[in-house]
Amino acid sequence: MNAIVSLVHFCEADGPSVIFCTQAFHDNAAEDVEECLSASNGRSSPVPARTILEKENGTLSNKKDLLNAVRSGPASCASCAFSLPPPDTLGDIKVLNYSEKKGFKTEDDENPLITYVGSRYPQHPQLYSAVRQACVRSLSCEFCQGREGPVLFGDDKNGYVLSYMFKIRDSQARGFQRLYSFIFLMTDRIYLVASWPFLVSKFKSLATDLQLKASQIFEKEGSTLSPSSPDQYLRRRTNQPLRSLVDLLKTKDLFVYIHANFSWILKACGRRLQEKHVNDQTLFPNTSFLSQHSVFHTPTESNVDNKIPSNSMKESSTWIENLKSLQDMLGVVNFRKLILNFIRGNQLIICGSDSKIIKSIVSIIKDLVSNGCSVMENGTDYQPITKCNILCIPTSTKIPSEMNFLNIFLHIYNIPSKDEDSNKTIRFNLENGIDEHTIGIVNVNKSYSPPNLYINQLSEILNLNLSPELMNMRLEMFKEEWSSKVKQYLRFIIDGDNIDPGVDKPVNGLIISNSLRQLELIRYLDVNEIDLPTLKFLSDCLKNA
Amino acid sequence: MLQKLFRSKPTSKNEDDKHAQSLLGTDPWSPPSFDASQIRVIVCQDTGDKTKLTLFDSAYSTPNTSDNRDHTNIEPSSWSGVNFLSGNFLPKSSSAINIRSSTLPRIQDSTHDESKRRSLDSPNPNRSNANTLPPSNRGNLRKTAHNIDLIGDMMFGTVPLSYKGMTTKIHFMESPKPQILLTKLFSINPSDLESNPSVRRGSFSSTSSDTSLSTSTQGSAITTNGPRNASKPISESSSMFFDDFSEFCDDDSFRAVPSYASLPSSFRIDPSIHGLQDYEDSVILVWKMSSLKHPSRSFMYSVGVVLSLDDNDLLESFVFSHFALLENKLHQLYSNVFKIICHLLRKSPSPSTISGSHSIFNTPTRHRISASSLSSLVLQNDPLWLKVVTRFKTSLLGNVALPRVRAPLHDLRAHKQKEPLWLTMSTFPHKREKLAKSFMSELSYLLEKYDDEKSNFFISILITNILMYHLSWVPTVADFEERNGKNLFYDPLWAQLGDLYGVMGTPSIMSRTIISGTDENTVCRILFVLSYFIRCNEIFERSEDIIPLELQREEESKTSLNCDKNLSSESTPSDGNVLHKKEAETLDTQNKNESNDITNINHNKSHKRSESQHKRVIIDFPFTDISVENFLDVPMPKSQIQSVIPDPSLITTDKDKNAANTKSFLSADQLFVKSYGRSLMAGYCEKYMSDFVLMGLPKLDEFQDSLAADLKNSLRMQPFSLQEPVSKSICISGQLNTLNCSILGCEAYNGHIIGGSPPVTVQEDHIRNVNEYFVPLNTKSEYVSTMLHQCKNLYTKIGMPAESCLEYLEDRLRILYHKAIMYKNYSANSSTAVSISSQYLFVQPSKNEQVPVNVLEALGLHKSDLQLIYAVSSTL
Repeated sequence: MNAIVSLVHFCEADGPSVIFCTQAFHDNAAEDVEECLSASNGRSSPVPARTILEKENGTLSNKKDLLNAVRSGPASCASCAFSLPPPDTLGDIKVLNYSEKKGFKTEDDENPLITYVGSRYPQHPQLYSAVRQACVRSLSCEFCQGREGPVLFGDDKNGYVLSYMFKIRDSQARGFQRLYSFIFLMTDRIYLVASWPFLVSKFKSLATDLQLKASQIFEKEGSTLSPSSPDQYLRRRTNQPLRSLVDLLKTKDLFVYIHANFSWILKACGRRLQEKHVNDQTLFPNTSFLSQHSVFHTPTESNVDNKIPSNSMKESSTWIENLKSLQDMLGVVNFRKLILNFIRGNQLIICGSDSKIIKSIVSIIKDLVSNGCSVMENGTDYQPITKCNILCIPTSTKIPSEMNFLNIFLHIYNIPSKDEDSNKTIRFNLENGIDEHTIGIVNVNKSYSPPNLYINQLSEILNLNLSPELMNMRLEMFKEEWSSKVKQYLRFIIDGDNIDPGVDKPVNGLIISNSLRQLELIRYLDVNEIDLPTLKFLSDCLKNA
Repeated sequence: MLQKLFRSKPTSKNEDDKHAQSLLGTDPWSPPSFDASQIRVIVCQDTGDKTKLTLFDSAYSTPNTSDNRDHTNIEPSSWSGVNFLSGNFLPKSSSAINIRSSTLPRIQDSTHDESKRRSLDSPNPNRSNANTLPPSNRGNLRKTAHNIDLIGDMMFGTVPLSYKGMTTKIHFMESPKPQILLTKLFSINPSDLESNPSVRRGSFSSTSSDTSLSTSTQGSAITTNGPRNASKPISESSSMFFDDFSEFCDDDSFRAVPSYASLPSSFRIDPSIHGLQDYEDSVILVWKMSSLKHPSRSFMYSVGVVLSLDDNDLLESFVFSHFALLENKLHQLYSNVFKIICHLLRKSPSPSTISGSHSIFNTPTRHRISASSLSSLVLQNDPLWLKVVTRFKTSLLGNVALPRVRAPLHDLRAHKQKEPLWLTMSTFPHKREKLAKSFMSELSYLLEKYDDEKSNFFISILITNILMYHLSWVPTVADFEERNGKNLFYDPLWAQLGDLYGVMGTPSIMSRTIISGTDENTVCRILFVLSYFIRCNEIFERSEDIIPLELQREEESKTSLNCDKNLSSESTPSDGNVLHKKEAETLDTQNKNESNDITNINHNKSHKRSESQHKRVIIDFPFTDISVENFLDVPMPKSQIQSVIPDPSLITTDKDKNAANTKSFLSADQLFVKSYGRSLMAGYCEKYMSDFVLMGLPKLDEFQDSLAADLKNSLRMQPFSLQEPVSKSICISGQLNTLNCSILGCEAYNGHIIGGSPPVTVQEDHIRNVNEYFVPLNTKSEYVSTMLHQCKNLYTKIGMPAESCLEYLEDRLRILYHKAIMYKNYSANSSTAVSISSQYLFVQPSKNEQVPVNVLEALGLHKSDLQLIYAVSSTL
């Protein structure tokens, strides 16, 4: 909250004068003031670009006030004095350097970076000038019905002010009352206006407190003091100024009270209106699963290393970077076969000794299903698919002989390099598993015509000429698209027959069996029937994730 | 054709009607009662001396007679110059205000002044009776000369300021009845009048040929008491509005801008105005020249609006929360009155610029006006100004009282909620399921009926463009940083307004949407569906109080009480609220003694009462902690939240609603007074109303000019972000009758004006030149179309739960957003940079513009999606 609250007074001797101010300081106070004084950025209400609150003479017609509006201000008379509570009221704690204390400070209990500081004047000269202007204007220029209540005024140069005027009874004052105002100064007039109801109600209750106290004292004094005759009044005028507010209200820690309230008003006013950002993930909590946004989180930053080898065969001696590298290494046909088997739920068994390579392959493939599948990275014995989707075993491990197309083996061999450097060449071998053309309709020309959408789309993407960063994004999107379909599929399966009966069935009066509806569902999701195992596998992964 | 079929079946028509009723229908929409008589517009001049001159006061006209063309009842003699400058002589009938000594106020006198003033005030313009007036004072002028003195003081203050920029003021008047006075104070320098208007304002001539004022515009448009009636058609020569509001300068720019527009240089006065001629003459005869001593000084003027609240808390809330909107309207008043006054002050001696012998201004000898002197009430019958005022009132009434978009409800008993779909779903979790169903069935219906080749893919095209221009859906699918608290200057209300107008992208474009069609039912269904896509964040208002010290102590001893549930924290608002209610209740039982009512409202109320009692005794605030620095530590007072509005856990019942006219409790359909989120989507309206982000109309054609004027005006709106003033303002128009979509737009550009002075402020510069354009829309995004139809099929063909379908929709939107991110990165990285000009957003790509095939392939998009992607990426 960038605002200043202050208590101002129309002094019989000095005219309008500032008694006390509380303002918020943020951890980087200097910047704040600068920001406050110049333009704001971001989506605040409009504040003109030019510097506001700039000090300029002639803003007020009252020349005397202008002369007074210098940094230090005149030595205040008692009437407009601000004072700390005397040390003896401060309880048991010893006050060090009491005489050096300038005011109060209050920590924000919700935000440790904010401190509210109360003192006679704002420290910053421009703010001082603005508060001074606001004070003069609200007490001697602006007209308010009955001189009691709120008025809002301001301009882009001097800032905007909500002033709440009130009178306090004083048996010694002219007309037995003194005029005060709480003023709230800020640059954002839209926010200030929106805060009107809040500020007015808080100022009103604060003013009522003071008035009540004053009235009680006034009543008491009324009985002891004789009515103030003009003569008496004049005599008093020449001799002494009016009492300070502390004395008038006989409340030694009055300013502590005022400061505490001002601090709270600043805090609460800034937090009164809270924007609640709702995104669809809050709205539909299910949406969040499987959605990984890491790639998109900081679109401007490139976290991806650009030194991706174009020819991974040579340089991937230590590990395999990404799907594209894997495809390059395996060759398109093998790559498709490997992915296809995995994504249809077959078990992937990786045999080899180079743990780094194996690890990288596992992580690339696993990533396709977002941690939803189970992996056994350091297996020693064979484990069935019910135990894990991906199994890594040493080449020496004995495999049951009845293995078939429900498993696919990826053998990795390291061949020592002929070069002097320690680089190795890697050879792969795929075993078992299903072939693409054995599923679905076998095409005559043996192209990949059984449109297995998942693998086809993946291949298409990998064939795009994209930078690694963009490729990464594209792949994330691909996964996101599939996960969104999978979510629907999963919901369909879970809901089973209990799907909302109130909705029209596709064919008039005919009850459609679930399997038929399932086919229809995937059709509406742009998935081919041949991808059904993929949907199933992905939805299992989703459940586990 | 479909519509014919549609209509030919009477039974289905009836059902449709029923349905339309449930969508937007006739069940009691309960806006704060507000009619034209509660709005008073005043223009005054402060001549710098003791007198303040009323140039216009809408209370002088007769707002409650529909036929007030008969201005002959205004007797000039009743306020002739003999009296009106003499101040005290006849204060009540005098429009010149006699101000008491303008020295520093004497406090003890003020009460006295006050009572005196009050006694002069006529309590109510409408109720004032002619009996108290001498028979010679027939007419309305005297009757309505109420509290103008007071208002004059408030507007100008008691001591003149020398600040020459625009000053804003707000006063709250308790008596004679609660009123809010909004004032804009400005000055006009002689230099403002110096230059020759004809050189500068050529553009006005285009409209001056058709400024004939139709008979009903003399402030009579608002003649009714009810909001519904307020929208009765006014026959308006809208072409005038059009240009009238088109070229302005802004607030503070005046000082530096030497000259502004004059009025249209020629008037064709309507016959009815012609009838005023005699009166005009007599007015002119009594014009009194005065204060010629200071020809070089400038004078302060004010335009003020008095809103009578009539104890309506809702209206009061509305005014304070919607000030940005109100202020824009005030600026329009101000801009116009500035021009008109400049015109009046400026001699326009060349007869050639004045056509027609009936013009008020056609006798140079008579209206030689010094800069310091205008005739009292000189604007009272100014046709142009009256029209401006009428328009102001109409739009303000419309903002407050129009029915808003609401959800269709199958349960007729529950016809209470009238809220934008997205916002309602996001704020009230318990309404989600039901609303999701409504949305899916409406969407499915519309797609079935209006989204094939025969119907020009009306719905797909419409929603494509909604997503393209009303971009505030983007943050709702993105990983989004909370804006709260990040920026000290963050203003949630302002942000919400920007969101609703879709001001998210670069360049900054303000968007609104109007669906027109004679088939009210279908229009309402479309509006309902669109209110799902036009999104904004909820704003919660915390009503917070300091816990009295005694209670704080008690609480502390019992349990550590965390009073402030920050809404932005993990806990949902409802949780927080429940907690607070509990707290309030706990505290209440401690204070007890208050009747333990059933509702929470009363709990809160009673609690407040007891608290304020406590407050009075705690002036002796104890002091605890001491700092080693130069400031003494004072603990922050503990506080607690009394209520949160809107309360997400709230399920409104009729009973609640009746009992709920307190500030801390608002039923769902009253929430719109709290923020823009629920106030800017109108339902089906008979006539066009300003400022709405979404609205249904029978026909747009006849309101096109008003709309264009609004679009231009919105360019004058303060920029939503400092860096980027609104450069374009557009309206998506969906015409159901013809199944066509189009865009009406205005674009500001910084052209050089020959003979003009260089622009001084960004704002003013920005407004100088406005291009209008019209773009028919006939491309649907394949992506959007597929997305919609997939959802529909999942819902209707498979029977997937509605929420699941919406989940899918949201997924697809998020993917779209991610595609936009990738697009942006692609364009940034690609050596063959994708060249899409900023114009791309508005016009179809020209034939020779290369559509970057690579991008499409890489993104997995269709060519038709490119504009959309581009728009979305502009928000990044």
